[in-house]
Amino acid sequence: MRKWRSLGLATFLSGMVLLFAIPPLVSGQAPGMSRLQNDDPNNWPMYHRSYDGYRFSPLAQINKDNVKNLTVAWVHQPGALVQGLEATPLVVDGVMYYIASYNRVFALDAATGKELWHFYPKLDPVVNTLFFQPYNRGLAIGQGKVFFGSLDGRVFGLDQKTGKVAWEKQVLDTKKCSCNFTGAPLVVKDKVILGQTAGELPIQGKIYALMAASGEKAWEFNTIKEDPKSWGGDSAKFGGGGGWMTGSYDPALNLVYWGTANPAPDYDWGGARPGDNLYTSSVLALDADSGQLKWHFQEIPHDDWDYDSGLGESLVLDRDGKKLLVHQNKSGFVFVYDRTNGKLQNVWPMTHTFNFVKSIDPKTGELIGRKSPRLGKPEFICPWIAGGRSWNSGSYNPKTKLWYNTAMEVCEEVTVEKQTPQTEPAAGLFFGGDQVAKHPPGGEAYGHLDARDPVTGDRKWSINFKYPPIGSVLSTGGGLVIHGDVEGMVHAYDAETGENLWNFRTGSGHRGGPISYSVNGKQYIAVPSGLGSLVLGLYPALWPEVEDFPAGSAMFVFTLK
Amino acid sequence: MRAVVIVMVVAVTIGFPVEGVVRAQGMRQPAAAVSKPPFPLDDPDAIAEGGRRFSASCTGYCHGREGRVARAPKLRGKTYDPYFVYARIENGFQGGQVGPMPAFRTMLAPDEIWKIVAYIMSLSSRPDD
Repeated sequence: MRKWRSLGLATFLSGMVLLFAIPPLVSGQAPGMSRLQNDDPNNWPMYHRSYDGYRFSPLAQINKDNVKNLTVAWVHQPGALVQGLEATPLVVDGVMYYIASYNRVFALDAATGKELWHFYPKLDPVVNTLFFQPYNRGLAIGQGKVFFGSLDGRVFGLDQKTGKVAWEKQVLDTKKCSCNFTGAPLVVKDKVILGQTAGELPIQGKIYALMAASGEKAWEFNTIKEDPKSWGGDSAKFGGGGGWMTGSYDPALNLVYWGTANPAPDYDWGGARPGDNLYTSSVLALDADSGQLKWHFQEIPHDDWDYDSGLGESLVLDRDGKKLLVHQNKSGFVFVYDRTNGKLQNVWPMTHTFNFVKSIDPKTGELIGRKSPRLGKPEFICPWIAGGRSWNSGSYNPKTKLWYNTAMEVCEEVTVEKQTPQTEPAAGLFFGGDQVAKHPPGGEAYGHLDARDPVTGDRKWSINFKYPPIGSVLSTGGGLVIHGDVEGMVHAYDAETGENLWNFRTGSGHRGGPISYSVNGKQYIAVPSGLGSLVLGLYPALWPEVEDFPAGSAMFVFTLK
Repeated sequence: MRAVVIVMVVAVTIGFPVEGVVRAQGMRQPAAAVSKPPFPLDDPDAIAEGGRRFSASCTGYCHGREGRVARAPKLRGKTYDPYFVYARIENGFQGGQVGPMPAFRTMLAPDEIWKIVAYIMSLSSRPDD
């Protein structure tokens, strides 16, 4: 830090040389495969920053040596703290865009935090009746517009410069389905792709593509396959599914990879939904232009536990001449595919606390030795309904070739109860039972942040947390891993060793996604802070003090002194 | 005690808009606007059925199994006004620091709400374990 001060402009310029000397493409990837439509290292233009789902910023001005000199550049508060701040912000050409609870959208000067515009949609009061509210995980940007799916089932295209509504479309009948949008869209070429909530509702969840220019629907994909072999009786009508988080995209194959949510009801009392329940708890490869299904792999056939494949990132990764896709679901197992055809390459567990299966065959994906909850009798199941990991995302650093990811070692007691699906006058929650969190056998529940090889699962380092972390992870070209915990501390770790290099208390826990960006040659790290989340409601059964952990909602932005 | 304080605070503030864009529906005044229970609230069948419905509405994420400790207010071992509970289930609650409670007015008929009220009232006499 002293060097920066004393050498002034010369050092700044040399730093910039270093900054831009970092290869923007991942080493080992196929030549010509663009990770971004506009791969400017200064920007964070989409939910996972790049189509490959890495959440990696190549910026290196802030690094292992100087991270101790980080200080707060500015803070922005959205003024809506219910369910905290779950979003990942975007930055394009010096402007930060982010969305907070109740779909409050902001455009800020990314260097100063000064507000350029805000947009507070007038939401339908039906939102008050919904289970999935009032949070939102992120925006998308493209064709001069800012896109988001709303709590009341609309999709908005806002003018990127002014925040004025360019178009809005009512895509979901939220008053009827009790479903909505909470995940960030993905812009692919001329389309905006996003999926709906449905996994706990007696409806059929879909993934949609709208034209970015007009909002007209281009295609939709029903995650409930109309197949009586897959859905016995009339269970398909109430099958749930959907795709509530953000997928990845391979431009070379023109395939969008999207995870689908669990079937409804979450728990099957025996005969609730006979069959494997396609395409729930699966990974889909969809043609980006037509929405046509190219391949699928169902990770949890007839999901009995709400292990939901809808969460988080799909890593688009090339290794040893193979085009791979790395994806996980809430079971805590990671699935590795050939992304050209969906053939399974490996399966490995990121948690050591599981009993829902004895194992998963890494060649076929077969769930070996299933242990399912039963009607009317409490059953001890690991992992819990929040998963081996929640919907927060890990980060893959193409320089270290490590995937930095969180995991939870927590169990539960599940009791299944018969439930009649309710669709009138509006869809009611369709769980088919309830659960309470439990400590694992012989020890306390906990969570951890791991550095692993994403293909083999080999672990290089790990850091334990008393309260399982539920925030996303950032890794950078400066050799850093940035991650915020439930207690309200944001940490910087050495990406190679896991050494803790810097900490800052933001005052409320972390559920959103930290990012890094650069404006006028100065690197920043933005950390959304604000504890909230449905998952957090499960914690007090194990840690009663979490009931009193303060809520919050603030965007903290750090830079070097 | 803490839960009682929360309920009191909530009761005082609920009538005011808590968000600029989605406003709370407003609590009905107890007894004046809420229907009376169609059965005695200590009816065992009503309590049992209300318990099943309570469990099916995501107790794990919200109030905890059988109203034990959770992020939402604890219900077990607490004493609530049944009309307040009815109105809260019907109208939900937007605001506060913990998170919103959905309004169940479009999902549950008044009889079903009263059964859940009966169940929640039954929790008041159960030990806070």
